[in-house]
Amino acid sequence: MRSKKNHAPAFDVPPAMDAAEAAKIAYDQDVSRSKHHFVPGEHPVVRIEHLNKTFTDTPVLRDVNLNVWNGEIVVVLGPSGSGKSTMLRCINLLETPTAGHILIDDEEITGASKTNVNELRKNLGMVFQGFNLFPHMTALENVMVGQVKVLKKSKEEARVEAMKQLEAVGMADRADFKPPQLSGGQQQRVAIARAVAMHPKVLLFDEPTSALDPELVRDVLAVMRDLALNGDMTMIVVTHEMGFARDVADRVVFMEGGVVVEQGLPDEVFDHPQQERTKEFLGSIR
Amino acid sequence: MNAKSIGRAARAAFAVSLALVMTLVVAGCAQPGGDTSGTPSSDESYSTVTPGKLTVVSDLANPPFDYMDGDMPTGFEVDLMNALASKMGLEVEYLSPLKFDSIVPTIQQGGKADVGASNFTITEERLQSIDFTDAYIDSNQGLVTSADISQAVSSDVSSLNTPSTQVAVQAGTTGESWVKENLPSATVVSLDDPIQALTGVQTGLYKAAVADLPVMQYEVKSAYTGLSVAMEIPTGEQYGLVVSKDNPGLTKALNKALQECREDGTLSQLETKWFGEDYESEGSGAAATATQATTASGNAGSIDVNKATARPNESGGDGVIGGMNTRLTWEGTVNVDDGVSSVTLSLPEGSTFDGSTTRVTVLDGLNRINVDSETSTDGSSVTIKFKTPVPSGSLLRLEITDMQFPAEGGDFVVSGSYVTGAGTQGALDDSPSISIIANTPVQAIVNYLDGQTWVEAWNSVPFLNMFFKPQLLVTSFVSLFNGWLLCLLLVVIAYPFAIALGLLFAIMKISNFRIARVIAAIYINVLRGTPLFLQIYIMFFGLPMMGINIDNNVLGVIVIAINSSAYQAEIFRAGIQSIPNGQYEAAASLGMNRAQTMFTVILPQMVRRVIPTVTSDFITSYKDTSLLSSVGVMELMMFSKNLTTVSGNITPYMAAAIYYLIVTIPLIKAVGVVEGRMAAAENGGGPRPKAGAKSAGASSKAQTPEPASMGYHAEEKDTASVLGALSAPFRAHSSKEA
Repeated sequence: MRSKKNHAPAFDVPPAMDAAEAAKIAYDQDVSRSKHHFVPGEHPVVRIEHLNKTFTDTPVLRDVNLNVWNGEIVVVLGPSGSGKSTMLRCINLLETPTAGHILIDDEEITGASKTNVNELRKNLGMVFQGFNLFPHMTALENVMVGQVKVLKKSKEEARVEAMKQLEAVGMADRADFKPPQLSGGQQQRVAIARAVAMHPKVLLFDEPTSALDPELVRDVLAVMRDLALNGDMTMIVVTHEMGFARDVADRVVFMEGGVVVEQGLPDEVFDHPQQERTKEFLGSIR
Repeated sequence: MNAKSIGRAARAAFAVSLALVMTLVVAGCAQPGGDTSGTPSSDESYSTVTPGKLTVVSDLANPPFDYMDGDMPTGFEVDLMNALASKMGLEVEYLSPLKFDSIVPTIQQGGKADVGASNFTITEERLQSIDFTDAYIDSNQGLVTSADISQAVSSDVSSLNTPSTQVAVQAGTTGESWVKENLPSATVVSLDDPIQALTGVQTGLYKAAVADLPVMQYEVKSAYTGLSVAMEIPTGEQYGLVVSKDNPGLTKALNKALQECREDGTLSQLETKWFGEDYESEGSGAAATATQATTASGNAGSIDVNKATARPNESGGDGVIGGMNTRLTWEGTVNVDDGVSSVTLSLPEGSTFDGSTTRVTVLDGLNRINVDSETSTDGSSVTIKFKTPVPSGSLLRLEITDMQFPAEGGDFVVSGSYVTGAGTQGALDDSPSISIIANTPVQAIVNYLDGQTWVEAWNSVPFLNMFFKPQLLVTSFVSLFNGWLLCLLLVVIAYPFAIALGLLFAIMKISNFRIARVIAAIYINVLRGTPLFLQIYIMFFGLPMMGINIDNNVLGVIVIAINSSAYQAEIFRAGIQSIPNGQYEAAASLGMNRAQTMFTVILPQMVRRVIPTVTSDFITSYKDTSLLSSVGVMELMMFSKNLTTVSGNITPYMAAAIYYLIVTIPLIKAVGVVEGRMAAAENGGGPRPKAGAKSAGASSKAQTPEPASMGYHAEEKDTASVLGALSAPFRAHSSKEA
């Protein structure tokens, strides 16, 4: 996993804004387009400013700006290649941004040193399209390993927490199964438990149901909906599941061509899209 | 392992032996030349492999007798062969050099060469499998040490007789026999040629080397100036040319040509050319007798008994077993003015021998004296009557072949009496005692087999006798056992080190530090790019030169471990890189650092994946221990080589093959089983194959569809194909068996 050197021309990006000023601007922008209950003086938990990402010569993200508030459920929609997964992966530095700023709780993570990255990632859980469970460990061990190795919990504490989270995703009875013995939907539910058990500030979902057989998608969405509605978790979900977005999201973000095209309340975006490209996309889906 | 797979293993073993039979049959048929087995009726007629040519085989490693000068065979023997051939109207053609101990079997088998010429001492044992021409030169053995200890060794040769002393010899030579008989406690290292032995002594790897005296003198003078001949061993041996027993006409013709060369002075010219003016040709030494012998006069004088030794027998390893054929060597110095006209040796009660093969050697210093003798036996004593009395001052050696000591073993002495030239009787002192090992159950089995008619019938088939002689198979299994254990021990001890080193270099190779990567790449490429054989030579001869002396077995472990570690490093690197990127990302997203990711996520998965390949490398390393025999590690190959040189039979090699196979075949099977199981469990860490692909079964694993990779993180490796590449050799194997 060597970081690739990018030879793209340097971007001229202004320095990150002052925290208070940025929070004020963000509030003004988002207050009308999110179901989030704003608290006076609240700062966004994730702040993305002028994010640019270029793979060799291909720009993938172009000046993306986005704020996510504590406890907010943000669903990112968009056609393939629109840059939504790349944005998600930039947030926990699986991809190194070419330019721009990402701040978690007003702390800049772009340009962080190696050791800091691991520290920062504790705040960010991720659920992958391909589950990426550790195949040599049981479901229980998968959920325990991060707690033991990274959070330095005792095995016993970790086991209790892991069982609690497996229970929550309905996988407690499969705790001793290894991933190859589980169906894709079951693996993904374990993967969600693994991410939640770390109690991150923000949970990132990268197309969590795209690799699943249609009949297995429902169970996973049910778990995610449960998590969104009954917890205080902040979630950024990249998905193609329109029903989920409409039901669960506090805000829907539509991306295309590496830029945020439109964002707003789910019903607004789905029923009255403002941008031509959003209309086309939603039309093609229906 | 279930019964079915054992059956399969047996079938495989059968297939191997069948293939061997086929090869031999083909080789046998491939002898075209219409003149083979033509008309052996006439005494003078003979055949050669290539009509009009005399094909000679030699190891070409005995300067000044036979050696390569550039790419030309050169030396006394080569000149002699040319002289003989021209007398016979033939042209000489030398084959590429063969190892010394494989020359006799080559001639015996026939079809490749007509004559073996490589300082072959005429011995009774060799005469059992091939014919010798008359002797063309006399020789002795020489013991070489480094110059600084030669004085000490020459005054007390028994200082070498300790297990920690390694004495190098050429496999299958009379020098080897001499060391085994006379320095029984020393460790004998049988090498392929005497030059190698000298190199080893020069570097300090071996303490001493024993080989043909003229060769040693020549080499010490010309090349190995740090060494010196500490001891001239008067063996009075004679060199003859080796000819197949099926070709008696050729032996006669060569003898006739040899006689002509002797008479017209060619032989002495060659001796002068190669050994200098002062070389004493055969028999001429008789004139110089009795120079210092006149100690006592008038009385009967005495015979000083120097020694009596027995040769380790076919299956005895380093010991002499009772009830089995051995050769008794008795040596005495004659101190009788009138000379000795007959000697009677009384052998231990219960010994058996027929007395028909007794060899008499009389030496004055290093020179042979020709004395005709006649042997008669009576019960357990053997009497040798000399036509002319053996002069005082000479060394008398009597060798009685095909004798057996009592089966129950014990310490035995040889006593006897003599008659002087004047008719006076004298008694011989008792010889130093000879330790005989009691006959073992194994020997009982061999004796039982000896008496069986089916064994006789079996052995009457030349191929079966040469490759699968039942008696020898039994004894080989017993005496090879230690060598086999050492093989296993070497590789089992070496392996954990190889794995640890391999892992270290694998991680270095994929590390972020350029220097670490470069070091690892150099280490891996150098070791993988050079033959293990060369690495063994460099380590075994190089380290002692630097003054680092490590036990041979330990050094063997080190060489195997280092060599194997380079291969392990590549296996591990491939294994690590075959783990999908998603695993790294999952670990990273949990906040694990690089080390945690490596040790808790990547390596445990890698280990599972590389087990088949690592096992295959283990099999290779296990087999590669055989190369260590070339530098004198007493492993399986070395033991079987020794047994083959003693017995002149290939059966010990077949026994060694079986010893290798009983380890490798189960491992190969196990690899297949593990592979099958892994193929079934390969779905972890990523999405399962879609239902349609699943029905195609495990064989479709290479086509397992990868998820439609999203955007730019399409770096996921195709795990199945990497795994496939890793285990390609086994794939071929298992598909063959399926």
